[in-house]
Amino acid sequence: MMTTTPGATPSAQAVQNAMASARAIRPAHAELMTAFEKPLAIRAGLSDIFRGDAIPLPDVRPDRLAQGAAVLMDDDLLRLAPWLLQAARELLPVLESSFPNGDAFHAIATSVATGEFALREKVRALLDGDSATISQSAEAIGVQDGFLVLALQMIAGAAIAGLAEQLRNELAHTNWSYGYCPVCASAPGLSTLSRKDDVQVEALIGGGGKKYLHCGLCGYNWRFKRNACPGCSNDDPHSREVLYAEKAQHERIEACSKCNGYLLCVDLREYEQDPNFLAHPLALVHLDILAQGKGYAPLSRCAWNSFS
Amino acid sequence: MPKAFFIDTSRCTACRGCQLACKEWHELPTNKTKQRGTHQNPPDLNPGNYKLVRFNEHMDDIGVVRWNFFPDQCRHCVVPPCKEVADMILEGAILRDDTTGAVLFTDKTKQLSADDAQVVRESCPYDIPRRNEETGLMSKCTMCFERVTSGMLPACVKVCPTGTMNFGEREAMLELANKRLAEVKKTFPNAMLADPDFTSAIFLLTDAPENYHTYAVAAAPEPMDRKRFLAGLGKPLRRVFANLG
Repeated sequence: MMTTTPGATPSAQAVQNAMASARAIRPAHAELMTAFEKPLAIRAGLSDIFRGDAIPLPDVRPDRLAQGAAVLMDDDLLRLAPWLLQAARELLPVLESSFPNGDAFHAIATSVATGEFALREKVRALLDGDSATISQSAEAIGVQDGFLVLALQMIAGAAIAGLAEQLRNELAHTNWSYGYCPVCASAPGLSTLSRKDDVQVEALIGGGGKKYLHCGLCGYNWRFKRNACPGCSNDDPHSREVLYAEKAQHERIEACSKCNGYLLCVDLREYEQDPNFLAHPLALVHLDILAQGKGYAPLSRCAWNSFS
Repeated sequence: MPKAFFIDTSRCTACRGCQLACKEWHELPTNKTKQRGTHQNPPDLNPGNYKLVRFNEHMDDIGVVRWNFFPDQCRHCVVPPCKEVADMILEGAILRDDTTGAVLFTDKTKQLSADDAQVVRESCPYDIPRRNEETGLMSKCTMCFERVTSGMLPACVKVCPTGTMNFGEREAMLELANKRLAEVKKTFPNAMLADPDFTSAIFLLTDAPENYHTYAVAAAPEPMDRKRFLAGLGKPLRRVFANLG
């Protein structure tokens, strides 16, 4: 039976375990991982709860998907309203206690509780990349934009991840060849190269290496062509480069000089176990620093890969 | 959670990718070799080869020539005799990491005399450790400790194209080994797992162990115990001499 305590679900535990392992491997990132551990664990736990909660699902229309229209494009998000409120109630106090300057999250929570803050509309603005609306809202509450964006990403991420899980089977039968998420149209936060395939030949195991993109907001993953930039579809090898540490070639920066974007990629064929896709980006922040030092911008901007 | 290799020799085609990957990852020196009429090259494990695919050819009872391949390496014993013996001579020369189960030879092995190193070598029922005669350093497979503790697969496992080399949680590898054994036994009724309870490198063999390698499985316990007994006998004397300066 599914527990209703977000911090005790299997996904929440998996985030915590992954953070503990990652801290041992990358002690330099320990402080960062510790700060985000609880919020990300609760976010994962909420997704676990939401995936088992029946709501009216949006239509998955192959004709719209074929034209690049994500499922939640133009959706009023009314179906997600209860989840968004629950996520806000659970996550904002955790965010407040996880960061030294967490007062901003308290202000956001107060605004949500009093109904002044139309959460659903702000999440819509986040999905639409409407930074003007976000800025105005932040100003109205008296917090910096970054705090509001982080809060909205966490809240929306938890709710849409639950929805994405409910849509997964239906979406699996559709074709989606774009570099943004078929559920929420957000940019990918991480890409992976798949494990070796079972080729059904007794003495041969091979293949794998297929590129999958993982949504930076809801975590949905989908196949994407390996030889192109997810940001601009540029497939010219002369304007794309791969950067990695010599002894860690399985963790790499894939950068595109055409759109000036980059996306981190991990090769699962090198890993003993699949990394936790919610926690792992925090173990790769050194690559973000390197990429941004070279003038590239992340395809998916979030709190831990935005450096001033 | 301790880790283990599962080495399914029934799938091995002797491509030697594992041998090469090991050498490359550890940046081990090259060997001077010559044609000796066998593909087994170099002829034996040495300080520059922690992994060696052994070739063995023999004719079975019904006149069929069997060519067996054995990707030899340290078994990372659950209770490693090499460590027990080394501890009596110089603590810290050989360590066992409880988390992964890796048995690790440290730089301290350089401080072992040639005779002591030989005692350590002889304590291994699988004839694995080797000593660099110039530096005194003893070495062998490290379970790619730095890779494994970073969440990666050992180099030999990563590169294996046939599914011979497998690595993971010990329980999972034992389960896989038993599942694969049941499958292989349909074709090779005498198939067996080599010392699965005592080692962290579990070999699946389709033929008698001696048809792979002299040390494919541990010898009967008596010789090993005797070696350990003899090594233990010297321990108090060594300590006394050490204290006398």
